[in-house]
Amino acid sequence: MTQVRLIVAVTAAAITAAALLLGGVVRNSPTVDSAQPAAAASPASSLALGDTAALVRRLQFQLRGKPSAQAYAALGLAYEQLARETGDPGYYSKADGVLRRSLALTPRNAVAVGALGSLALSRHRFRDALWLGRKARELTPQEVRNYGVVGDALVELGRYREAFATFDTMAREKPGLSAYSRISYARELLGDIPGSIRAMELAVDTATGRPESMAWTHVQLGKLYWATGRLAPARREFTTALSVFPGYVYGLDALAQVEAARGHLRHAIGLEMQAVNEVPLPQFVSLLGDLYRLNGQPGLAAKQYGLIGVIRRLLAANGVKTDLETALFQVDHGIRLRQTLVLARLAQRERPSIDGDDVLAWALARNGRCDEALRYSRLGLRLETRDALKYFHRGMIERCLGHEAAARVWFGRALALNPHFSVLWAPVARRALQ
Amino acid sequence: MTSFQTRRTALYAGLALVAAFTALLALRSASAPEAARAASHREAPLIALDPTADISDFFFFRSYEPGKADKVDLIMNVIPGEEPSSGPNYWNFDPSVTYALNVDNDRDGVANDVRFEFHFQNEIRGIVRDAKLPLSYVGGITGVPPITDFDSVGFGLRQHYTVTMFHGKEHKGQVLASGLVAAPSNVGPRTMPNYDSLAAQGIYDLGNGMKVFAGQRDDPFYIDLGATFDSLNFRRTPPILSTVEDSNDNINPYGVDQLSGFNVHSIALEVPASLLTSDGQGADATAQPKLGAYAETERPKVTVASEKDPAKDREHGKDVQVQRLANPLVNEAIIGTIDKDLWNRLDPENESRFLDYYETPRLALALQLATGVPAAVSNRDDLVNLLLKYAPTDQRLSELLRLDVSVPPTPLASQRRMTALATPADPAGWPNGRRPKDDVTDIAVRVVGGINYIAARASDGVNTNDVALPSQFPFIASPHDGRNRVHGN
Amino acid sequence: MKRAALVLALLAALAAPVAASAHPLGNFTINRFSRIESAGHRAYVLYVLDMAEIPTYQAGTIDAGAYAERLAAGARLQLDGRRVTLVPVANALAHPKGAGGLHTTRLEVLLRGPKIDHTARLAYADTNYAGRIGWQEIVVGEQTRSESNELRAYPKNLLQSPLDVSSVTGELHPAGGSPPKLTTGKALQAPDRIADAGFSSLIGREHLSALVILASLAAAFFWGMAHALSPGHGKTIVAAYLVGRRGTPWHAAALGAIVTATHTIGVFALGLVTLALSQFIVPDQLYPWLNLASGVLVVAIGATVFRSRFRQRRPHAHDHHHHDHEAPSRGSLLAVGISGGLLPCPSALVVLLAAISLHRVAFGMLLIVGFSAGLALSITGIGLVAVFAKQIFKRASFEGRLVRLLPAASALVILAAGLAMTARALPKVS
Repeated sequence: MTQVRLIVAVTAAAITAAALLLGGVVRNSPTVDSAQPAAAASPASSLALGDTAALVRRLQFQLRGKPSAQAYAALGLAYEQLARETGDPGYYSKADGVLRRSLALTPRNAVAVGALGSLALSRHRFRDALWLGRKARELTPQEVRNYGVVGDALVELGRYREAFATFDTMAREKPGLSAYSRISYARELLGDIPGSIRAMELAVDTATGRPESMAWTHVQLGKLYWATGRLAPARREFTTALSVFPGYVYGLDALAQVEAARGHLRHAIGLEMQAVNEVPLPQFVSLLGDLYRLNGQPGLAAKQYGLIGVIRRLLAANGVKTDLETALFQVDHGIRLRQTLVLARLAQRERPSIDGDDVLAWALARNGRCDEALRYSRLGLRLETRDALKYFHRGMIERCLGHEAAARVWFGRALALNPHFSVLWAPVARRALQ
Repeated sequence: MTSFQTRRTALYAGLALVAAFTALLALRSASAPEAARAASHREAPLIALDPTADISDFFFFRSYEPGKADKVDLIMNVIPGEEPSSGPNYWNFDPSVTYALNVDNDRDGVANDVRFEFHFQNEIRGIVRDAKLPLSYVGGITGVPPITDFDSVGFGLRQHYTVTMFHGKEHKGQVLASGLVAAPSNVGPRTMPNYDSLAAQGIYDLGNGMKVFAGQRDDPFYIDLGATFDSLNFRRTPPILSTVEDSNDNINPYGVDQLSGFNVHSIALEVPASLLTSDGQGADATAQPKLGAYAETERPKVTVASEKDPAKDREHGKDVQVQRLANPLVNEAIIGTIDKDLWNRLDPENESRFLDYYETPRLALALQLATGVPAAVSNRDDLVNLLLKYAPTDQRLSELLRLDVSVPPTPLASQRRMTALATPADPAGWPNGRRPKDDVTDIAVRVVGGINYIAARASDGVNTNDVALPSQFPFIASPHDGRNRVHGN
Repeated sequence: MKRAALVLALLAALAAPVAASAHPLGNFTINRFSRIESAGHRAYVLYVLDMAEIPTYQAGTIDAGAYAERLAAGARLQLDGRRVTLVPVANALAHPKGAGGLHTTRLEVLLRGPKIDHTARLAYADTNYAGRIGWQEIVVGEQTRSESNELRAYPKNLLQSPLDVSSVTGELHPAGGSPPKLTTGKALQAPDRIADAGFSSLIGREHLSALVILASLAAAFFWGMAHALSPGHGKTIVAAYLVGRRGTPWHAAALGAIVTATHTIGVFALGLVTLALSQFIVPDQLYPWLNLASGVLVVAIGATVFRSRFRQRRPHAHDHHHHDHEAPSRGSLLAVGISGGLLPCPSALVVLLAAISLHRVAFGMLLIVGFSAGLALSITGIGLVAVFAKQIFKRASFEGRLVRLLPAASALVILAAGLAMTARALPKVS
């Protein structure tokens, strides 16, 4: 009888493992229809460039008549682009749905898998994105897009060397908007701002004809200028972005920061409110609150801060508990610091990038755990990124540890890099240096 | 507890843990409607299309402009599918791209004998710059006269370009011209009331018999795109033309030209044939009249580690080839999807690794499956000879568009879209070079399909472009304007 | 004690609420609907505003009258080319529950237009909240169907982008009758936002009143009973096993219960695993492997039973008198029960997945339990039949070779069934 029990116990445990491992992975269906001429990708979708909505309508119409894995995958990609352009996250859910349908029709469908990878990135599921990107790369090693998915995931997981190698491959195989913008980001992370600007200028050139791409690249370029305190060129880039894509929320938010730095507080508030009314991302709402506070309107500020709480509750209701951005907001505004520290730890574990390290360092510092904070701050600056906010956090940590001289050095560095690096904290740094 | 009970407890525990674990896993990753997510990580675009480096067509022919038979024209079209009404920035060449035309004149299959490079630069000027207007072009309103020439105050985004010629392996070429202006997008009748005369100012005579033009044009390619790429779902069954229909080059018997109403950007170069031939002789006199050519786009290669010298980031010495085009429809219809990106990165003379695609063309099989008519699906040495060789005895396989300049040009009025397959045959078109009028879709369908398809006069049903072709340089019609554009279907 | 804790943990994990977002179009949409109609020879516009959680919070306390005035100003109606004034004459405001314990807003406003006595050309543009993400729908006519049921239920169609109709042209025919009425009472809470046709409407009912729950449970129970009679639920194995192992009625009941429990757990586990894996792997591909595993397990059990039967037949005189000692032990009961109920049937799985997708997980699980209980009853019944049949034979009290061989034969039946299951599952797995 012992044998039977043993068999049962072992088999029961093995069944789950087997089902998980073997179910679905072994299937070997053909990916490419050898009898078909060129895939739909090139000619059909290059019609009416810059008009994603029209492409979406066309694919929807096509699919209602005849479902096909290729068309579903293409629609998934189009939905993802539409989500970028409209800011409506409902399109992510739709993308998810059609991509699953595509996979149901053709399981080893590289386009769909790759598209799910970029979708995972948008949802901040970086480990999933890495897995999916790698899988897609296995299926079609020549598709350069998947290198982008893999590389982006690696960056957010703090694996920079691998990420940069991936970006190099991308730029070597297919120089263009996707590759140049990533090379620019990599250079920025490594503290090479001039190099970052050069690469983003290349990206700006390649974005011709696509309003969202043009707006995005101009905003990124502007942010590089902004990060190094060059207000006028930053403003120029943000205004260009808004002229190409009126109402582009990232442009509005970025321009608001510039206007605040120039002392045009009311104008800044107007711009930021526009952004919030269009897409209330936590960082927009937070900045709007800070601007109200600066403008001596604490009641309105409190309302915005309350909105962040609402957003956090909604994220939690959607099963998202480890949001780095809301953690940072709570740390910055001294909200339930002990709980926020727990949140920050979770967020950092989820996203062990230098940003995750830095936010955790800041959370630790605000909780008085400055030794541990120092460790994470060092991690956050391990790439020698030129980031005024990270310098400032380090300054506060040094001060907390009693290293006054070192603190002043760091505050000085932050202000030298970008005197307006934060509506809340630049004044604090300035006061510390007086 | 007895050993049995221990084991049973273990079993319970195991099952419970498994179930709990999977429950948590599922809850974490259950798909739910999205809430606003902060995009603090970069979320850079992951675009697969790259329109400004996307070559849609390459034409290579002896000039059929009256009195210009000693000239050869090379035209590359880029940025396909330009929607004419795409304001406020419309369409422009890409300053980061090197647009190039490469010629092989010694029959070795390597097009490194003569090369022309085009580089563009952007300039914001005039009232657009001074008043910081959010537009590229403005005119015909109070205070701003319409744009009638390249110095008009409303001509905001102006692109200059340089033409450089290289011989053989030289690194430093000869600058043929610089500071030329690209003809802008056709915005509309108020901003640009006489677009044709504006664009005509973009036709430059460089001396030495050379002419160049760069700017927006109508897309001269005609094809029932949707039907063709919907698995050859042509609009007539079987998709064949009658003799009368086949000899009428001005109608669309059953297809819809789904590229109608769209524009492209063209770079057109006209040079004396003697500039291209290996012995420097004219078209009728040269001892080696068979030339091969292809168009390509390149971009600078960058790495995460910057160059020490900032200028080197944009240096074109180490450019990466992004796309190439020689014979039409090779990338679309012959090379398999899985290899397209790789194919674009390689040079034409490395075509032997793609030999199987030519010997066993998938398009032939697809035609056979779609129509039921037997096609020549294998052992297509004829295609290899046609597309990859100057003569059957050639060893090297090179995908070049080959032009025999000793064949006299056919005047536009007498040109036949089916070239060598027409009755009477017109020997001056594809695959002997390529002219805008040539119906490469029908020719490809018939030649790749085989004798049955040639005999049956298979076709996509579209015989002509929506706009008439001009008979002089740059040989491609004026673009549709943004305000009044109409798409045929 | 430990076991109880484990079981509780299991139940807690399974019962934890799956993320529910009541506003399917996103938490910061402002959705707008207009119905242009005629009544009492006047033009009316019924305007509905549906704000998701975030804009509701941002709005704070809503002065319905003020909102109505603003909406009226933004609703631009032209009749026969001339702009007409729309006056708000009635409004209804409610704050249905949304996600995260927050509320959404539903505001209905009746806008009254001028008298019309002939069919007029109309042009209508809704400029309220222009540029804001959200569903925008306009219909003309009292009877015209609204795709969203006037913003009560947004269709979940993957091949359709949210409507963004902000202007229409058409004709307005004068009609008599009383003015349109606004929604009142509970209906204003518009709970059923998710419109799905078909089977899932069983679960997606608006109100889960006690009556509805009981009725659904009863339905599930009977369905489970009937389902047990469909092939593939280990009945053969169960019956054969009980005969072979000299089962008593208690064993039959216990076996039924074990099968049910396994079945239920199996459905839950597979459902959740499927959800998790369905991101990457097509769920249908799991089934062949589970079938195979089930078959292999049954073969193993049959072989063991057969071997022990066979061993028993070795010459030991006193064995003939000890049939009754071969009552099935709990362990072997468990093994057979598990293998019998291991493969959850697809229909139960569908019920569970539908329940999860409609955010009615607890209810779905309740249905599954009811279903499984019905299943148990049927299988127990069959087991009892087998037990009593054997007892009938026993009373006949012949101790011929036939009786002695019966247990071994039943072991063979189990073995054969297991081999058949395995053989059937193998080709599907490759």
